[in-house]
Amino acid sequence: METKIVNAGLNRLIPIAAELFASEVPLLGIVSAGFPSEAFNYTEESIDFNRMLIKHRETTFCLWAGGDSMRGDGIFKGDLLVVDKLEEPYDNSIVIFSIGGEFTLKRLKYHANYVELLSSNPEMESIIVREGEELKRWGVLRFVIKKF
Amino acid sequence: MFALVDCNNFFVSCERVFDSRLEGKPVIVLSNNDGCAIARSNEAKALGIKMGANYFEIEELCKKHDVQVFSTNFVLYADMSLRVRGLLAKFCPEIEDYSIDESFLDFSGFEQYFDLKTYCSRIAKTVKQGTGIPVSIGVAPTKTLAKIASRFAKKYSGYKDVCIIDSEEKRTKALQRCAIGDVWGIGRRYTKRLLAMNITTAYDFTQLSRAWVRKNMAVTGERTYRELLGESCVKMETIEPDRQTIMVSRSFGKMIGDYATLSEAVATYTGMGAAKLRKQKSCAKAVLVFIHTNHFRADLPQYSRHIVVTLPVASNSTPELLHYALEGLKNIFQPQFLYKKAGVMMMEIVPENAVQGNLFDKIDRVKHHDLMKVLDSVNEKYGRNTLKFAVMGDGKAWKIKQERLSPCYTTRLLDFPVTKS
Repeated sequence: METKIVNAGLNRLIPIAAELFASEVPLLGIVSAGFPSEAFNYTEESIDFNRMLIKHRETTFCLWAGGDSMRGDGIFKGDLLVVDKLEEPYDNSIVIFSIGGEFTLKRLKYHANYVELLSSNPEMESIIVREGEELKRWGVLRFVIKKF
Repeated sequence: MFALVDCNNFFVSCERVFDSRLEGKPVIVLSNNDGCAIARSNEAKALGIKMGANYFEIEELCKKHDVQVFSTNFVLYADMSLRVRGLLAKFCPEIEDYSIDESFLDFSGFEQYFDLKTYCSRIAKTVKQGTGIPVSIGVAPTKTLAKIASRFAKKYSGYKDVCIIDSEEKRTKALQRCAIGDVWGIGRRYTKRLLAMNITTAYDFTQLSRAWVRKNMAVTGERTYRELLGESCVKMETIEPDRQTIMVSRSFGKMIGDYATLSEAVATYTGMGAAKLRKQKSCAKAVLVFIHTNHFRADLPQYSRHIVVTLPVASNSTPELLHYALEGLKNIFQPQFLYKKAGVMMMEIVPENAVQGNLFDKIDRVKHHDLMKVLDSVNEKYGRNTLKFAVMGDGKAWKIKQERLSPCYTTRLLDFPVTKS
């Protein structure tokens, strides 16, 4: 038996729709009477943070960081976490787990025949998930938003 | 081929996504006013809690078995429903949103390119992983059969969430196992009549003559009959109608007799309707107000009335709409009755930027606009009705009871889940 990373490979399976969703119309200056300004040729779209932070709109959720267990990764209490449930984790991804009604963050480390779940707080021990044991993640952390 | 994607115990599943302690436990969600059970987890079903069971009748049972009880959190369920639909749209361009937890997909032409069983398993897995909501999918040549197939997918774990009816043999078998009352489109009245004729399954029904069905069950009955035989008659309804009206209405926690309390409720609904108008950047030219007594209390005098008030200029400003809605209420209110429900409908909706002005308009629309902007941003952040008008009152006398409401985990900043460490 091999270690179960839940639904590995799922993202590759979304077929037709990438195109369906990328059909936003770009904004190209405001049409008005009079001589057109040359400057419109140089306009760029303004930055859209939604597009930057959200890969799959339907599967992105926000959580608040409630503690400092991941402080080594720069995540502190009060940070806003942007989590994608559909995203595939890779080695070193920070993954959200939901166990016993609590959400926790862990860094995922792949080894030859087990997976290690690490906190970046050195006082906390890492958890080992061996082959055959089920590891159910809630989502994968994509961005952390902080206010200064 | 059509598919019906049905979210399993949808409301309960929504709660479970954000509270893993509910996993494996009996959970129910109560209707508005915390009246009766409208969603049940499998564990709750196993305890014998029936759909629509009155809460006061099952309260003891719930306490005894530690059933987790929730009020309806429509904000959360609506958001999760949109997410599920959004994902489904990635798999199929033709979608009909049949209800908050069911969507039809039109797979015409897909068979040539995809193995539908694999394709649907992938849909179920993606929705489960991406939103946390488990779904059952039924696939068949007609929508009525797809509905039956989805029930099988939900009922028998052997199907692994996907049941396909794609042969005569499977169709016959499915119909033989489907109770007549469970067939989509056969109402309670016809069920009773058919059962009296000893027609107990969908299969028995299809053994009747078509002429009999047409004669005794009208066109809709015949359509169901043909659908069960595998001939597709119910087409997809994919075009979303324009939002021509916005309706906000609720039943009260208890019956109301005085104008002051009734006007608080109407004012609150008007405020909600106005906020919806602003959200979709439109204005209403007219507002309808209705009130009625409790139809289920035949012992009390009954009254039901509505009125449409036309505005001089289409508006989405809460104070302006409040003025006209309450003016309307004054006109239809009769003091000798006890009211159970009131509602406000925004009508003749036009886009915000296409509002026809009025020469004699005395309202400073820029000022109103700015005020509403502040109102909306506060309420968006801290929850609906945080900032409101005095006429809306505190709702203590009339608001529906929602004592076991979960947080709006996905839409409200302060309700986002908090990680433990």
